[in-house]
Amino acid sequence: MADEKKIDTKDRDKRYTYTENDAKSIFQYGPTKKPIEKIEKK
Amino acid sequence: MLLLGDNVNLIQKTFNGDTMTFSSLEKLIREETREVIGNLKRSFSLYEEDEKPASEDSDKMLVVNKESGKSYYISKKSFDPAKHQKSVPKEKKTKTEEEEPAAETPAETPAETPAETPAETPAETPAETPATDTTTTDSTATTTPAESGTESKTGLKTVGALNKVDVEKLYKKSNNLYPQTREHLLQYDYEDIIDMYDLRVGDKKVDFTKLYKRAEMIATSKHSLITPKTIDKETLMALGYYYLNTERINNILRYSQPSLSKPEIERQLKLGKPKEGDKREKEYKSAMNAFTIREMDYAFEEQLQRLDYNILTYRSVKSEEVLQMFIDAGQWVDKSFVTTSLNPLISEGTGKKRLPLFEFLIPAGTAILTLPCHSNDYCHETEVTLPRNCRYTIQGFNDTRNIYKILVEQNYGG
Repeated sequence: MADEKKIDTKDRDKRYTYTENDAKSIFQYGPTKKPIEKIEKK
Repeated sequence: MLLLGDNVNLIQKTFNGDTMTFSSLEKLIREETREVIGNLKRSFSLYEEDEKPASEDSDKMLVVNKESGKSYYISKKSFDPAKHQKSVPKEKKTKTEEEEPAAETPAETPAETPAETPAETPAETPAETPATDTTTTDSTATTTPAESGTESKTGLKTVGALNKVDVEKLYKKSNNLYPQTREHLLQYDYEDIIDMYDLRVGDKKVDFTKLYKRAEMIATSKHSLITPKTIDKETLMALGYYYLNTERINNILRYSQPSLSKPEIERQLKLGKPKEGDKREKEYKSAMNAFTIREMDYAFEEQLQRLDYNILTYRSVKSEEVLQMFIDAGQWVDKSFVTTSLNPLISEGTGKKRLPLFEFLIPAGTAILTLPCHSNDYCHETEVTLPRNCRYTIQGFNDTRNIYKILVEQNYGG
């Protein structure tokens, strides 16, 4: 693997970014088990 | 920083034992970071050919500290007659003395680093920070990060500045650090670097190359400290595949389950990768997906993968709308593996404003997966993969920097 000259460079930044699809799939599981006080952004 | 009710106690216990508070940890890290960054700068300066020694820098002067009696170089702007006395440089010193001026003045050197007061004095910081050099150098003033050349190599605008030799040297240096210094390095939160970035982000005339490189060097050093020296063949293969097929693997975990039996997986792997268009292609991909999930799950169970220190990793959020969904929840369980990086700028370099950032607080004892650089084409990403079924809790919010502190706890899945 380390010897390969070319590496796949497509959409590498997306791997480190939460997108709308990520959020939707995470929250499809319903409410959190332990509700906590929400943070209100100023 | 806002901390939420009972979660203050949770994070105190998880991260600091009974005697320290989160804020005192932050204070400790801030203080210790000066020393760590000072040490790193001395190390890194060996690789930065464009940085002159302090003795040859016309912006710096040799002074004697009136209190300690020690001599060292400071920025001319930092000269304080109450504290410093001008000193005449001795005749040419030995090479060792010239190269290591900070060795005798560790407490003083960081006064010029951006780590000291980035939050309080962002407007003044550029005058003395290395990152500012990148904004004022004539030769780079009109060069944008997109033109710097790393993107075509890595697909990312902010990393890829280090070559293999740089990385090997960093690995060696980092692994010679004392345990306490390792701990503080791993908890360094890049606030000074983030502040420098935020100050100029969106300005196309600014070249951030040096700033990116600094973040990458620190992230690589951290990576070397938490990565096992050796890794078994199966984990290497599985993680390598995951790095290239992250979305596909995680979609399987989120929306279905791997369905192939172990014998079928082994049969497909034994037959090897089929040529493009081969009718076995689909079965082989399914086998690789199932193999990857199985091997990663297995690797996360191994003692070798458990962290000796608390660490901080990062993942950006694409938009304020997506961010709000996480804020509304406050806490969530992710059934997929989660890809994070030790470098907070990993997804940056494209927008007018930095993306909201999640900073994951990962306690010692948590299992993570990393690949050593010698077996990893994506070493520059300094990836830390988290196991599936972790619980994520927003513990605090840094309003100034739009950074959310997320506590990670393992084994919440069903």
